[in-house]
Amino acid sequence: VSDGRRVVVTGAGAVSPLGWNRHEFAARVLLGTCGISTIGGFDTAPYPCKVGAEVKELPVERILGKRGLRYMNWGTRLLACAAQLALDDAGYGDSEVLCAETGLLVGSELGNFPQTTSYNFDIVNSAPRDLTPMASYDVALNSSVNYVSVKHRLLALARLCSQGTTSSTDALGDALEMIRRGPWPAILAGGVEQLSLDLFLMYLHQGRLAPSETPDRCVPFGRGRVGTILGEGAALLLLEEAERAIRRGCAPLGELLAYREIFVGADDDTTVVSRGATCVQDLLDGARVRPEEVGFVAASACSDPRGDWLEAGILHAVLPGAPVSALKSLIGETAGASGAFLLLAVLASLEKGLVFPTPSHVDVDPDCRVRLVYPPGEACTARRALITSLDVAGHFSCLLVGAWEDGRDRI
Amino acid sequence: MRKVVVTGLGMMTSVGRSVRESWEAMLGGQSGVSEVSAFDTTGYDVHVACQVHFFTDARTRAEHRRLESAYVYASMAAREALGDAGVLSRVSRPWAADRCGVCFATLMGELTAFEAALRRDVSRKDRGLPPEVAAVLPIQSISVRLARDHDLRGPQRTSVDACSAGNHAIAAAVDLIQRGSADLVLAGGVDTLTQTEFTHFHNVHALSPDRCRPFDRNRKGLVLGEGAAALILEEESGARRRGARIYAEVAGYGLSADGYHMTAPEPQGAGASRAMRDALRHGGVTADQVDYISAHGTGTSLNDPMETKAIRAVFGARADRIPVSSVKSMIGHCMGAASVIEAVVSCLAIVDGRVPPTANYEEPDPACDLDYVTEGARVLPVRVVMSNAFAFGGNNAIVIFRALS
Repeated sequence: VSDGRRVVVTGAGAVSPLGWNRHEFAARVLLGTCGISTIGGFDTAPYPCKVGAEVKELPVERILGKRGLRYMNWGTRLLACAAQLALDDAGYGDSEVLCAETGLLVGSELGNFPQTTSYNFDIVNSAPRDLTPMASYDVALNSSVNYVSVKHRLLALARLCSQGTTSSTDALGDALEMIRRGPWPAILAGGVEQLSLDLFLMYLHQGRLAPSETPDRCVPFGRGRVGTILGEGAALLLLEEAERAIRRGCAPLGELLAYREIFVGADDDTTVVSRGATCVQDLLDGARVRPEEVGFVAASACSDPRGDWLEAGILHAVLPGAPVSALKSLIGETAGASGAFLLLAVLASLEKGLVFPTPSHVDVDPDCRVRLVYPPGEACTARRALITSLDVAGHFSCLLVGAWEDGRDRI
Repeated sequence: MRKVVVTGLGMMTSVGRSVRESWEAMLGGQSGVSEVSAFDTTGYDVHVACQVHFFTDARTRAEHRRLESAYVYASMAAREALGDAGVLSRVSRPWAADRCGVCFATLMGELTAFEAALRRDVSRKDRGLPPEVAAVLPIQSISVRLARDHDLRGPQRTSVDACSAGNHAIAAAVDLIQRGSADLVLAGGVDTLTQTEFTHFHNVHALSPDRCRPFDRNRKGLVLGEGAAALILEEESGARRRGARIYAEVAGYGLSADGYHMTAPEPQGAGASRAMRDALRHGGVTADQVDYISAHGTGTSLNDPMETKAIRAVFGARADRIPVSSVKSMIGHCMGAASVIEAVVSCLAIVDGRVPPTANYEEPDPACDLDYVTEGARVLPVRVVMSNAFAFGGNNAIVIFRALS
């Protein structure tokens, strides 16, 4: 950690249930606005869950222009819009040189799987020769990433990784380490997830979805939680080597300080908590940050009975009493994009000195020993925050974020 | 910087169920092409692929086809690699479990499970994923199961970068070891033959009707394949301490994107050559030191001349003297597994002093004018190998393997 380059965030694009740019997202997150409502993207009549957090009224043409939209699927639209907004926000303008030096690293739980299954339906129901080549334009799971790489000529690398709900936390962590160690000067990193019938049914069949007709059933760390509610969106952040950012006159939105991860999938509950806590402690030790310097925690809790309890146990072991907020109560389980949305919420909180709230209807389960932040949020003068991501399959990742402090000694 | 070495290999392809079987078959130029049996090809112009036919028990094979064949293939390769490295048993490992990671690549994961469900019941179109398919999703499920099976509880990555996913997985594993997040990583790739991919490549006219002839003037496209491969990557000093056999060092890797087109590669090979140069730079290897290139070599009209130009751009006049071959000519294009299989081939070329041929090569193409090892396997001392992988979207990933003195 001590020998690497500093890595800052210089731009962000958010296409979310709370709006389609980072400023709207930040304002609504800080107000505790909930983006969950009745699902309109597919028919939920046969299923016990009727609600989700969808991206609505996305002005795709305004953001991307008309060209190329005809064959662009929903997931690609989400990611492409987030990329355009992030690059604009970072002041890249039309600079081909800046884009050429920049890589793309995206996390997603299902990627373009919905387009793949849709194509498979067409194969079974048609003569194969009747399908045009354009019908399979986007069947590869990473097609959205390829599209963004081609559109913006991001030439340094293009990668999609899939570790369930920690995918974008890991994408951000990998991007941090790649820039820190070089030679990459900048990577556009984050995640994307579509609220598709495939994702919905996967969660439903795996028993992870709450039967619900109202938004208030998503209660991270809450009493009576029985499962999550899904969300969707894309969040991309331009991570950049600090000196490069300063050279081109950027005011960083924040700094990524450290990242750690482990796999706890085969462990019993006590061991998961113990190993998760060790992972967080290693993160803090590596960054030379004391627990009391961490102002708050943005947790990945999603209203899952076991997962939330485990995450609460990890946080209590390392950061007892720290303010904790759970974004998924506002935007649902955005799966592979959730870590990137947590980072956006953390950056907004650090900038405004106000920890974003969890809705007041979340009545904390006494077995989850966390101190939730309720509306209207909580003032915070600390300059560090922690993001934790726990996937049901057992991947645990954490990211330490700092407000940008120019001139601070290299950590 | 921590050195990363290869200490175990696993591979199952259409020409062999193990490293030894597959390697000998490749050296002999054996073809894995057969009539497609995984699904009905009536209505297609192409009826061949390089399928794995080792599950002779019909019921077992049907079960694998329906549900989790990718995991079964991956598991076979992973077990072989762990066994080869002498670390299959947990007690044989000197590291804590959380210092051991998994990086696996796949293009389609367990898509065959979904395809089989759909073929059984077309009405599923309106009902989406059946529960038994949901159970083997999401895409990371293969990596997760391998990690649980073998008590590998360190970092985990599932790379889904299409045809270059395997080299991306290796690169991710190298990063994890070099930055100190893991001491051992099971790095692999797997894909099974899916009707979805078959139809896609068929309809973009990229499939050959008979065999795969990389770099040949009359090449007609790729032949789809299936299989799995795995490498055990370790930090060098730890490997030496435990007395492990070291096949090669992963000297470096290079990544790039063409930024050109969703399906076609940039025809001059600019993106590919950038990745090659970055790999050489990262590995501290000069162009003069490369003894053999394991080509992406798909046998398509667009890839082969592009790859040739990229090699020429990087190696200059020396390109004429570097043997280049493509095992896809024998085992087809195994998608997410392809570049891991080729990584195994690269390591074996180093320790065995033989490089596999480009099979089915008959007539030179003026646009492909390198030494493609067309006469059969060639005996030559190999110390440094460049292994190329390119994917749709211009997604390029190159890995360099080097003999360790």
